[in-house]
Amino acid sequence: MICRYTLLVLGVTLAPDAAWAEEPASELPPPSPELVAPPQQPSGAPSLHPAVYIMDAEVTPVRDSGGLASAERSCDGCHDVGWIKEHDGHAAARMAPGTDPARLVGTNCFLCHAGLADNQARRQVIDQGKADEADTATLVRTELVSREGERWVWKKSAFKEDGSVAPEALGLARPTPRACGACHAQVHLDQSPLVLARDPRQSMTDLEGFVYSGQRISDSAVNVAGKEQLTRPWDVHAERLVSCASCHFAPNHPAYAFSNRNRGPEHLAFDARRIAITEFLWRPDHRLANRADGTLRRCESCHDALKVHGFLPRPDRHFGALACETCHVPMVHTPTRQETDYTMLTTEQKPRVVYRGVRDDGFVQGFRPVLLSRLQADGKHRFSPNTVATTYRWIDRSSGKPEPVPADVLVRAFFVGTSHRPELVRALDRNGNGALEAAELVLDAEAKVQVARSLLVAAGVRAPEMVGEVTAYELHHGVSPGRFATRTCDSCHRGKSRFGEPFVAASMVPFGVTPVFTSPVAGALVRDGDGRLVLEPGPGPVHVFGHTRNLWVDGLGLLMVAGAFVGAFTHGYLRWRGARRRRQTQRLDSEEKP
Amino acid sequence: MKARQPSPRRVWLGAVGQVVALAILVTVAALALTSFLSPGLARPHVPKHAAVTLPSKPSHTDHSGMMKGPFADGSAVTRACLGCHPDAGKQMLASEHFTWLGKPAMVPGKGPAHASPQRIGKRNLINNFCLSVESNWPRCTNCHAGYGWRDASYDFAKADNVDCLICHEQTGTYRKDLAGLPAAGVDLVAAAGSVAAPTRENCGTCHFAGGGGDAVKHGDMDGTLFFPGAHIDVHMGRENMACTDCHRTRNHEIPGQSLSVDVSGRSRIACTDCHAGSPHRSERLNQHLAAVACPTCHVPLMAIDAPTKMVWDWSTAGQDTAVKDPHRYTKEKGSFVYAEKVPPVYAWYDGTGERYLKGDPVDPEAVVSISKPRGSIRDARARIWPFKIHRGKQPYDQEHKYLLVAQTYGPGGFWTDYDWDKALRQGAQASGLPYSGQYGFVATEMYWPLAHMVQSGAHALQCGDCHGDRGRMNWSALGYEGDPAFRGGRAKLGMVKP
Repeated sequence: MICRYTLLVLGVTLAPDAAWAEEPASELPPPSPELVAPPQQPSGAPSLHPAVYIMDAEVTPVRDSGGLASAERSCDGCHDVGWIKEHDGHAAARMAPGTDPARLVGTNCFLCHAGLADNQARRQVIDQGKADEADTATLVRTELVSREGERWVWKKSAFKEDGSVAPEALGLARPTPRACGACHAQVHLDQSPLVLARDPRQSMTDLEGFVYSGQRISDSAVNVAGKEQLTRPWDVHAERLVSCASCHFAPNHPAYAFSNRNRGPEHLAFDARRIAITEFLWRPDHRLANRADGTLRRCESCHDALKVHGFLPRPDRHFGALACETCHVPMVHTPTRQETDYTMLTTEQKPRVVYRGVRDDGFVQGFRPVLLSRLQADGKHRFSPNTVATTYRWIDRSSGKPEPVPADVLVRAFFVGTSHRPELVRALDRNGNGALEAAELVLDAEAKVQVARSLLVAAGVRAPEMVGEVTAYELHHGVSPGRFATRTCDSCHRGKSRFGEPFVAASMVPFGVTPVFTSPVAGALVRDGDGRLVLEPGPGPVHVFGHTRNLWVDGLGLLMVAGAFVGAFTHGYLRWRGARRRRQTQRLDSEEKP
Repeated sequence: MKARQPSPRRVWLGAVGQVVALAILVTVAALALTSFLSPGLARPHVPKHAAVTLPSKPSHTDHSGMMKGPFADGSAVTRACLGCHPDAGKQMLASEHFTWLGKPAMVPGKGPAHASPQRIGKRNLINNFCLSVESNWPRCTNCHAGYGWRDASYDFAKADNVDCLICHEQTGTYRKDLAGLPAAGVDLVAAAGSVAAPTRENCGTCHFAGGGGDAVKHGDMDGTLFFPGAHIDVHMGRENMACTDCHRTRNHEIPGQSLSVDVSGRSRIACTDCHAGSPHRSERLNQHLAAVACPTCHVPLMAIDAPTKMVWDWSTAGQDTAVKDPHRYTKEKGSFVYAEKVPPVYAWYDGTGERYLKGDPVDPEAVVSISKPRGSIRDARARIWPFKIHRGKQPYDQEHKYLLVAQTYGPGGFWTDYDWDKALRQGAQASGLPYSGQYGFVATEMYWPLAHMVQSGAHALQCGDCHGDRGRMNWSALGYEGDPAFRGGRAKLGMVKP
């Protein structure tokens, strides 16, 4: 909104003639420098990156060959792309075994390092099975290349005379949050009210509810219930300009690399030795800081929590038992995926998906994460906030190992054209209206399962079987500032505590399915009275004062209270007895005396 | 002698009492222990600034029985007021609200012509809105806290000329007309009987309509402040504060400084008059106070619900056009640009300013600065402040090279005859500033500090509004080499002593 009005003022101020065609010409000289919009780079400094030759797979400049761009070939030579590929945490995801070769993409440097990269165009060609065009499509927003029919056409005038392009034309830089967000999470950096994109491929938003934005929730366009009070940013680190790469950096980045404080000699607080910047630029480690080798930046890497938690009783005990996120991710205010049910497809031939945190009236009410005791980066177990997502799917065990039944087979099995098969409709249509509605698309009875299974067998699945998997996602993002963190003692220290609070994992369980965790979780999956799948967290390794019940402690307390009462009662009784005796003695004495 | 023994009944009651007392003791001890263990949690958070209670005023004496009239004119009301408040007349005669002149003070950055202390004010300055009071007195002075100012011969020593009602009447029906005289039909008896401490309505009648209409001049003051919501101004909207709660007035001297008429820095009020110390819970925000004025974050936008005038071009005035929108063009006044919800422009401000004075030379090829804050990144007293910048184009003398005073109102004025030469000649006669007969139009700018339309912390600027690649600050124009969030502030860089 601010940008809009800035443009309005500046635009009308600078070019009044255009706006007022019918009015007398009003001409003003250019405004003073203070009125001019600031440069759109923090430093205003030009990029140090030299001009780039965009090469094709044959290492020929695309301006001359007109071929498809290859990011690997373009960047190789100055950067050791071969080494980078071997040290690239993202490569594993791109080259997962079994990936359709037509969708197998190479290392696309443009995607993360070109500020003008277009991930949507890239995905589009990959989805079309044209993975070789992915790098070219990524550059479509640079105006260096455009699509004409089936061909990609390079705009020669956008290149320099020698065939190179200026780094600014690509927006070459260290990966920005927007670059990371293109695949991982929704990123919203401008002033316009945030609208949720609901892109299931941005998994951190879809599954964990994380939105990278410094905008206050109250200023967003998301219909969060009671959002007037939610004047916290969606993520405090985004608000304070901490980017993704600030924590997930290249581990050999000389400015970011940790000293060997925790790994070197004890006396050495800081190891000043660093690799040269040229070496880093030649071979930047793309595995990014990660948990496995201890390079991942954690809260305590930057924050000295003890200095700002003076209000907290026994901070050592709290920090020993709780991850920082336990209090600082008190709520998730976006709808997040609760369950994905591939056992029966919707009329759109998609799996049935249920999101948690949405009220019946459409408002987002969010949810409180479930606290689970999990292994932390320092090797200790602490309670941390989590969400879980349940997936129900058909698998085929005929080959000896469980293979998911592909989506196209499910469609073939359950549909005739665009409609559910009649036998399926007969089995699932509870209200008898001849159509399958959302609530009816569940295989919650043996008869329904049998029909679906027989259809799958008919479609060529030899041993179809339903399974349910529950995955817990530990929440590290979407952090709220201190004033919005959990601050009340009785959130945890009471009988009905955050600890042990059951968490709905799925709205239903298909007949005959026993859901299991995909990785060990300290808790149990049970079905509640409504047939929902519920995660009941297990007790952690700590005694939670006011919440955890311990027979011995409770017994001792009861004994002490009872002892006090008995003591007081006995004391009173004895005094009463004594008084009576003295009165009797006095009476006898007075009777004896004349 | 034997001591008297208690009866068994008394002893039994005592035992029960002991048990009850023990139970109470245990309960109290448990509560005290809880409170001790969680001192920050058991008590609600009380912001530091809340320790300063909101100002309260005693209820005003009902004057309806004392001011029975009849009153022949406004001055008759004033005489009645002065009968009981004899000092008020003297105080008002010395007040800038009556004199429209400040106390003698050096105007920074001036040459030998203004080397001595000057008395400047609305009365003798040129601006880029209505140009000048001089020669236009009857029209301009309908907002004067006095009666009858029609020309330069006005008697500023006569207490009867003071208008008490404009600031104190509470009927809401009192209106002033030409030369500040009560408008026809005003019930002076009712107005006089209603007097009380000034409210937003009293102050706003003039200050919200500065420049000739609602929201024209200031950017942070307009008619929405009469009955504001909290989203307009947290003080006036949420707390229902009056202007005088901050502009704490003694002896009719109202503190506060408008950079357009006072550049001395002697009469400023500050947020820290109430919000002392470290008002934020965040240490990082409190650190900002060394370089950033409170309104910079807490006045993120001006003209929140009513557009304010950003540009006024007199050079196009006098033409007959088809334009019907008076917010874009009028034959009398020329071309305008209005805007709403405008982000301010930011500049260093040490509380003093530079001011164009009558006769100061201008460069017709450059933008003439009429009022501008003083201060720089190297000035430890200066803070970054938000400003509205009003851009104008107004007449100047092509031979003498200075801004001209034009008579716009009245016979022979521009609004009557649409003759610039005639209007400027009459303006020169009234102002004493010679006019060569050759006029042109020159671009001008005025800075207007923004300190109203204050937003609570929940709606103030956030980090990314100023810092980062989408920040609104023009750091290089402010003297920084780059964004201080990444490079460090001026103290860290050694530009000022911390």
